[in-house]
Amino acid sequence: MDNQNVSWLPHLKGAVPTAGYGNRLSTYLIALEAWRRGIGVTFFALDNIQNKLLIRYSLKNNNSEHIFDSSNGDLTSEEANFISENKDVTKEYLSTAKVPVPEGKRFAPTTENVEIINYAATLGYPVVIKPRSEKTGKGVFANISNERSFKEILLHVRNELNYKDVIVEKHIKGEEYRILMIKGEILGAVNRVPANIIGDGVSSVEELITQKNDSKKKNPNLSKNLIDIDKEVLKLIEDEGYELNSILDKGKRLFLRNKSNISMGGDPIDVTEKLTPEIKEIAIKAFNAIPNLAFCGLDMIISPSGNTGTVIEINTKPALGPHVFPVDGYARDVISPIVDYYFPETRNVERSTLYFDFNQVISPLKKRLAKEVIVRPISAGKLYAKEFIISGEVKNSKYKNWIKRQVLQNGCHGFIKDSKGDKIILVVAGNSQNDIDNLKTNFHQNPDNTIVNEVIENEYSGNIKVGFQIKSLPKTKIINRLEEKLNSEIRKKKNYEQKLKDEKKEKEKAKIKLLEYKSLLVEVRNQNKKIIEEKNIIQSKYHSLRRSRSWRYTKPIRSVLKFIDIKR
Amino acid sequence: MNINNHWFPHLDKIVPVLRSSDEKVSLYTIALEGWRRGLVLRFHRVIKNGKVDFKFTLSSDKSQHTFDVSMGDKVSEEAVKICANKELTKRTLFNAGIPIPKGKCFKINDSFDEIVNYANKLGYPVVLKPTTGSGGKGVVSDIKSEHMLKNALSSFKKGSKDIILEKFYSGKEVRVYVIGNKIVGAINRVPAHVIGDGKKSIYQLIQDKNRDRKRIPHLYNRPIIIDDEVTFLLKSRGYTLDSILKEGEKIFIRSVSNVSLGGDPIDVTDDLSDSIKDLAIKATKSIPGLVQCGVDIIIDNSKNTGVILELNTKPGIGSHLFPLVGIPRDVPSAIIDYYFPETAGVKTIGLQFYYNFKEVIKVLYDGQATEYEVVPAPNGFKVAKRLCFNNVIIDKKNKSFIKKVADEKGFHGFINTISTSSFEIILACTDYKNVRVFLDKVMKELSISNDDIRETIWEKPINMGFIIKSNEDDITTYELEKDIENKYKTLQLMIKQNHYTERRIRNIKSSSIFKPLTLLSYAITKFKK
Repeated sequence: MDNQNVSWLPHLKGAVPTAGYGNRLSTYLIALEAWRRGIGVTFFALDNIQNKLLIRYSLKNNNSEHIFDSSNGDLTSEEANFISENKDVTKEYLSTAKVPVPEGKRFAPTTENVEIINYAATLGYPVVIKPRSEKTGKGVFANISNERSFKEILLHVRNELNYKDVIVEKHIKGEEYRILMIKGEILGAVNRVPANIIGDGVSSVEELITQKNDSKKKNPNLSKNLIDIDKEVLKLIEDEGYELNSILDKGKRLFLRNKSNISMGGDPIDVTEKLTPEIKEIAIKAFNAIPNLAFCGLDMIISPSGNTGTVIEINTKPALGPHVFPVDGYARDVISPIVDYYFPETRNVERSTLYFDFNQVISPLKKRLAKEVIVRPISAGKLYAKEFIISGEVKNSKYKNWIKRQVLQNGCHGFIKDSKGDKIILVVAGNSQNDIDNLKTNFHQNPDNTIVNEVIENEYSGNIKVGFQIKSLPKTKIINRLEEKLNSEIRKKKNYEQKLKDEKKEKEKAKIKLLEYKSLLVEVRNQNKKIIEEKNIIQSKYHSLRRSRSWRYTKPIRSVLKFIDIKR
Repeated sequence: MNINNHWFPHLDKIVPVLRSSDEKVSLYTIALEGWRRGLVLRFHRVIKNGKVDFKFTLSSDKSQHTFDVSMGDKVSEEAVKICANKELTKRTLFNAGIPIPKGKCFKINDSFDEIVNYANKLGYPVVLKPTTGSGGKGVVSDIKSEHMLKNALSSFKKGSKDIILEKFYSGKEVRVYVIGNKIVGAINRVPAHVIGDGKKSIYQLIQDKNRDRKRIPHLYNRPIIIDDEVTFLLKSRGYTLDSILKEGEKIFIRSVSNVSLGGDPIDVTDDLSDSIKDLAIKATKSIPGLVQCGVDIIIDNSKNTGVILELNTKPGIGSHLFPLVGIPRDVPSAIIDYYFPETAGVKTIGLQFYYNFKEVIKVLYDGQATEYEVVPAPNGFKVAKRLCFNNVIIDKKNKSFIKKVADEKGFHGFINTISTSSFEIILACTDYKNVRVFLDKVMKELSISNDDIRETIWEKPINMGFIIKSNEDDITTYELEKDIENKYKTLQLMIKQNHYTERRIRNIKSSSIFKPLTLLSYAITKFKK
């Protein structure tokens, strides 16, 4: 179970700009899919009193337009959103439709704690306590096994976390699945496992954690949820009888946390194929129980037998990342069905191989400079793409810029990057074979008579950013190479790390020095000021003395005296 | 001729210097004026002749207008068509009884002799120009003889374009900006020239001039380039680049006055006589649907009559806003007044904001987006403060803390490092109380007292949002060490000086003559009283 085994969906390879990493992933994935089908995409900032940054986007095809907030589109009604936001209301609707839900009760903000504690006792431990309306599992405490810890947690939730309105329900044992659904159809299911590492018989625990984090950084869904080595992690390692520098046996899995939250380094695992017909039926029943629901993520606890399940939550704005970029299992294209549902007329449209630079489009909105940005529209359909390796005296910006102009004038897209020796790599994509053939004939005939020795032509199937880029030294490549080197020479890496630690110490020292200097500087300045004042006083004294009439008049006498003095 | 140092305060140092030309300056300033009056501003990416270009739309509740650089959508397509063709313009003007230079249009295949014969009949000097094209490209003026004409014709890349031959008028060429039958500004373009001071060489004078031009947004990228024409002209007048001009001696280094070729824009609005003003307005009116344009007039020496050379539907307005000499004219304001008369009262008084144009260009030019709506101009902002912090050293972390607090409060402005131990914060806010709260937080974070802060009013335009200006990286210990070292040195020097003066005082006091003298001076002062 290593995430390198899961291959990305080919049409998303290299097509997720860094702005799409993290919590804007769902937004980007849906917008990209729609845009590639020729649907117009507009990002905009929603006005609000608190002056918060709320980014929404609109998808527009011919006469139909839909507004999305992340993965939540406008075909899910306000009512459905309200129902799913309030967990007790969700449960009411579900139990009316005979969908199994955990037994429990909601307590209004005015309820006394005693009453809640009594209810937990009658329900029987273990229990779960959670806020009535809060997303992403915030403030949820599961598997509370006795009254003492229940009391403690209740006070914590109601007073410190300030969730006065709470729900107490029976804790149900089993695996928790997140099932993604669109109108009566199951798109995929993931299960989350707590942060873990798997031994390779060579690397130490610490090295494995670093490796795990490195691979997480490359995953758009997990890049921001790294494993920090903290107290909990250290304790769990210790409990299993290991230390940070012990070598883990090959294939041995070591869990580093108790909770499976993605935000705490947990891994999403695709389990779509594990869903039994019974579970699917429950899920569909639950979906249909909520009126005017278009799309949701359903949280279900699956019984150990796998035949029954209890629905605990319905989320109308679920993250797509875990399904598209799982750590194990298969990557599922859960995005296309959403766009299919909203724009059925584009169902059979072949998507373009272009992608847009989300970083650039979203940046003015994030900086609060733009209110609305319309992404440059493209026509749908696969592009004809070719890779040309051009050698000659071509590694200069004049030639590259000339190529760029040619490409843009032909309505093509692509990029140029430097290669080994005197070669450059040009990738071009156009709507027809013709466009590219036209270009090809031009490589040799440039206005500046740049010498082109050889042009090698290859097929190209990757994704291409819209427009044309002249790529200067690819930094990522250099970093990747460095990383490879580091991986193969782990021992050396250890030394580096030691050095790094030393450096940190040095830095600390330097920092202290800096502080010393800071105070010193202020001191010197004050001293400076004092001395300037002193100087001024003395000087004015001196000047008044010199200027005094008596001193001036006696000058001849003094010179005579001085003369005599010297003579003597 | 005094070279301007200050133009409009509301445009002070905010017009971004881009690769651009006058066009971007016009685009930016007109859009800015509308945006500052509360209109919704959207930029569009368009492809024109295979190149990326921008248009923008301004809209109020009532109306919406699209602008192509300085030309709004009230200018009819017919007017654009007429003005793009010099021959058509001339014919239309002539029919309306507007004075134009005598001349004739020649087709590609007309013979050399025919043209020369016509010129001989017309009388020299004459001027040759292509029927289409702008910016003075391909124009050969002041052709004094048949010989010169023949030379010019052969260099005209025979057969490339239709040409116009007309009489050359030796007056003052003025570009008059007309909108809504009103004259907003007039610019005289003087060909590139330098004026001597008796010390500097021509080369140095050109460099000085280029430095002055660098301060003007639309001239930033248009220095006087020393090329063959320049050296040839100098040679023909008996100079070289190294010759030193006498004080006040003026020498032209180009024959054409185009700003892009080093010409100086000089405001002459107040010099226009009424008859010239009428002429400009009448010329504009004679083209149907031409509500705004730049009229090129040659005014004869009497200042009362002139001939119309050309009408520009999309003139750059940079020269009116930033004349090298003379009074700047607020053309953007006049344009917005005309298109959105309902906002004419909404004068952009008080605090002036500006939007980030570079971001617009970045997103649209690269082609990731086709439309960009700018965040509305903030309103209700009355005060802007400049807080100057002395003897405080801050690092990146402190700066981002300050930014966070400023963002929370909804402030606009920036933080700027002045030296290693001082920085300034510029803040625009709706309520002064907020500044106090902000300051308290910052002072607590940096553990500094009120004494370290100097507060003044800030009157210059302010950017949107709160940004960290980084003209230098954060201070390193090395820099600090150096700083301290320098301070020590000056300190030592001052101590030395103090010792020296003290010694001199001692010397004076100890001199045998001093004591009686003090007594004497004491007596004198007493006596005086």
